[in-house]
Amino acid sequence: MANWAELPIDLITEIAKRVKVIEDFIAFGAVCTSWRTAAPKLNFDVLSPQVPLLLLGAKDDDYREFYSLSKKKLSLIYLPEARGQECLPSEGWLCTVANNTGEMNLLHPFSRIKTQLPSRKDLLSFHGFDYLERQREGKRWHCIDKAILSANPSLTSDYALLVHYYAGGSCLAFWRPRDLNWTEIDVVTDGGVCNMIFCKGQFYSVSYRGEVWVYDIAGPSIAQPSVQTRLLAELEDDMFKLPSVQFYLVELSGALLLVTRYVILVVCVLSKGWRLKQV
Amino acid sequence: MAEASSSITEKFFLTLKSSDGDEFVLEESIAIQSITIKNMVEDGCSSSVIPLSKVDTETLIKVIEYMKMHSSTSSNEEEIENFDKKFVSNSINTILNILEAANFLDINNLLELCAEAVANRIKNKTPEAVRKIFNITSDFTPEEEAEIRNETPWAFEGNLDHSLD
Repeated sequence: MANWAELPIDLITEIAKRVKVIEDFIAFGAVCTSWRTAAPKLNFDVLSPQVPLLLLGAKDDDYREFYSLSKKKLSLIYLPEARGQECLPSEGWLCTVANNTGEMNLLHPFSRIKTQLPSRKDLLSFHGFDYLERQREGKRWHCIDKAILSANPSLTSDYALLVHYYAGGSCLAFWRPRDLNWTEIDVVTDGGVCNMIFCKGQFYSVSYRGEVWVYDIAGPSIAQPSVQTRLLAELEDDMFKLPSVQFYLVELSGALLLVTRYVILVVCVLSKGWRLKQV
Repeated sequence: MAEASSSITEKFFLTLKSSDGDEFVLEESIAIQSITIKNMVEDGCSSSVIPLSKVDTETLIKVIEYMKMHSSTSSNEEEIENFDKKFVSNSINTILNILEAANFLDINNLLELCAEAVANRIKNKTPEAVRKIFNITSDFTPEEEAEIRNETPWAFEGNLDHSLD
């Protein structure tokens, strides 16, 4: 039987190109030297749809655990860059926030490529809260709530990152590659930001009071970072103003859906309901 | 020129010779799915037998089967689809031989079919299982092996499929 390690390298590359599941691709590169050469991590087809990996909570070591929905198993991934970091996922990347220093990065969990972002301290300084960084040094501190990318940074340098964070209230800011700092977005929404999404070229947020806002962030051709905000829709039904309400923005077959989850308590009878509204 | 005198009904035949010395006669219109053979025909090297020193008889039979099925004159889409499905169920060794032959003969869609088939065979497999299937001995140094295991221990130790096919 032939030793297939001696298959020409361009044929091994042809095979590697067709391995579409990230776990299989990594196993491919662990077979032998020539296979490893044929399957550099950067060659992975980032466009092939992946079943999401769920990132589990941090342990104090250089590994992070992911639960693979497709393989139904836990995968341990060597990711020292994520040690002591809060990780907010978007587009297959992680927005990492160092608990102690407030340093922020965009990190790709497989290639381990890292892009430095302006820090948490820079965000807080907009509101005069940056002194908190000093006081909290070394302590866990949750203040960045969500981070959403407009595009996969593996594919383009034309993207923006929108972050929602708490600094005395609910705040939004964005960053684009080459921007030296965050750009604060004046949040005029009624109730804090409950959820955000990027869909068809624009960022959207929904507040706890059922307001949907759209944010049009200037592209890379405009050096000066700017944003236009606009109220898109507002739920007026008082039912949605219950304190237990949760809103989600979901893209489904090209349509943007506003999903509402609420709980009504009626004399010991607990009913749960879901409502859908297309915006 | 040959082209000038050819008519629709007239057929040209080529003789292909495998590395084992067996000869196969094939219609030119079918054989030129191989760009390598097409170039030889165009360069006028096809009057005698075409030696394919890198393709053994078993593999050449499979390649000819494939080219016949995929030639534009015969077979409908469904037939081709069923043929391809059955084709890729050949043993991995056969598929890899055909993949090499498709590369040498420059038959792009056959190369794609085989590369896809190989990629499918290694789904859910540990590197050890893949090595056994392909008869590959790991040539990593102990340090390299340790580094890879360190980076992605789950790729080796998980409950991924260890079966050989």
